[in-house]
Amino acid sequence: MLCTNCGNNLAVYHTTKDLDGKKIEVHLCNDCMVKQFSIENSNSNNNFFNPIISNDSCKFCGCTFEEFSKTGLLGCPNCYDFFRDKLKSVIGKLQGSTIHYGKENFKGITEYEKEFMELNKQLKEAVYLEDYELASSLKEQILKLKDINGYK
Amino acid sequence: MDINNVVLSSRIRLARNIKDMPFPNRQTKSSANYLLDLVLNVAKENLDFETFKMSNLSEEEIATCMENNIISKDIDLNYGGYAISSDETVSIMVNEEDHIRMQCIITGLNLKKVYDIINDIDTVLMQNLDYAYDSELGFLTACPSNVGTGIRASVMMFLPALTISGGLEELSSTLKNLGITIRGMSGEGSESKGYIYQISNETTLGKSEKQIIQEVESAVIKIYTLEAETIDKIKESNDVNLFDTILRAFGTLTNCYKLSSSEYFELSSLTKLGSELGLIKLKHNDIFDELNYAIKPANLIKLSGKYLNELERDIFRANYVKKMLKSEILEDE
Repeated sequence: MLCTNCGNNLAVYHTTKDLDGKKIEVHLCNDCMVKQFSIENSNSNNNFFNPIISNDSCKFCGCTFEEFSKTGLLGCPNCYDFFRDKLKSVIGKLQGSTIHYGKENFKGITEYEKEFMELNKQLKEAVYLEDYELASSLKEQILKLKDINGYK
Repeated sequence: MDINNVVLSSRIRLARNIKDMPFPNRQTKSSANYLLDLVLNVAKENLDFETFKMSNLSEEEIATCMENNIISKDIDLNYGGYAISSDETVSIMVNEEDHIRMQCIITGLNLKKVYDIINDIDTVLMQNLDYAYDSELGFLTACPSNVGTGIRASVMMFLPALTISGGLEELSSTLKNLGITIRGMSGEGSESKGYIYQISNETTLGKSEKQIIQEVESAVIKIYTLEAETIDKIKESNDVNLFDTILRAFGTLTNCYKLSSSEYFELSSLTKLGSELGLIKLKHNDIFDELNYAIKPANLIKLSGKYLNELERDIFRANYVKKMLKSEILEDE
């Protein structure tokens, strides 16, 4: 079944909505589902997130840093953005590092971004290993890559 | 001593989550259901895995899955589910602490091969799902102790000599300094049953998967060498009391009328040690790896083909273990 919103993609989320007393079937693809609940989330009225938003809570799920401190669990992936600085200090103590050197997620990114990420990763590694000669050459390669692709 | 007598299995699990979706601890019914269908559909369509929802399984089926380590006790029993490969070496849990926890287990020591298998599965999922990923912190997880690679590489080891000699405590603190954890059979916080321990990486960030796997494997080889040396020392010690305890354990295991699962683990571990010391001669040293799963409650019920209460299980277990072991004894010429 195709998405009832955009009509382009396969629907993966199926629900019914109450519209003026009438029940309407809604079938959404992944993209429309995310868009939909992001909009609904900003109105604080949806099925996916049910957050009580305050100034110091994640704007997406409502999780506060205090809640995280109690349970050790974050509310959603966006919490990493909202609490980045505080979390990085916790992660540094817990993991002994705050930089990811492992497998990367290349899905949905361009060849340029992929190459940029790879060089950036090598640069981080070189700085970590204090190989400044390699780091400087990698920096040059990154600048060159940006230049070729029209990025400043 | 053969390393396969000490290393039971190699396991790798990866933790992954879907972007813009609340983690399971904060899910609503609809987000949990949406996620469950999304991941199970991808596993079915793209990996040809068989899929199950916890809400459709009976209590016995759930208990069997947990005993066989296909799912963990932390899975959401209402909105969780799992997908499994046809050879049952790879399973993907949905809605546990993270949205996705995938694992691959094979016998013996070969973390590299296990990683290659699970990495291919992960790549297929990554192409078909939108993972929560941060270029600085890597794969995002509900608990920051798994962030980055999301990898836990663990090896199950049978370490009776190091346990009896008391060498394990010292080893444990040395390993901790190397970022390696040693814990009881059922993972975090569990006591060791039958001298079986899980050796795994402590951190998931700041190192590549390859590095983490190498560190765990080299720790396992060091532990194996120590265990083999300690076994030799025990052999030389001619410790009459220990040898007597071992043979009495074997005697009970092959002659008792009823047998609880904790008693089985205690006696079978001593018997296995007896086999390594050359006191007991068995046709196959890995017979206990098979029995360790078969004697668990839900598996016993499956074997017997009918419901058994606790006492009936203990009697069935005693008979089953007796029958299996008696056919394994090598008579002296």
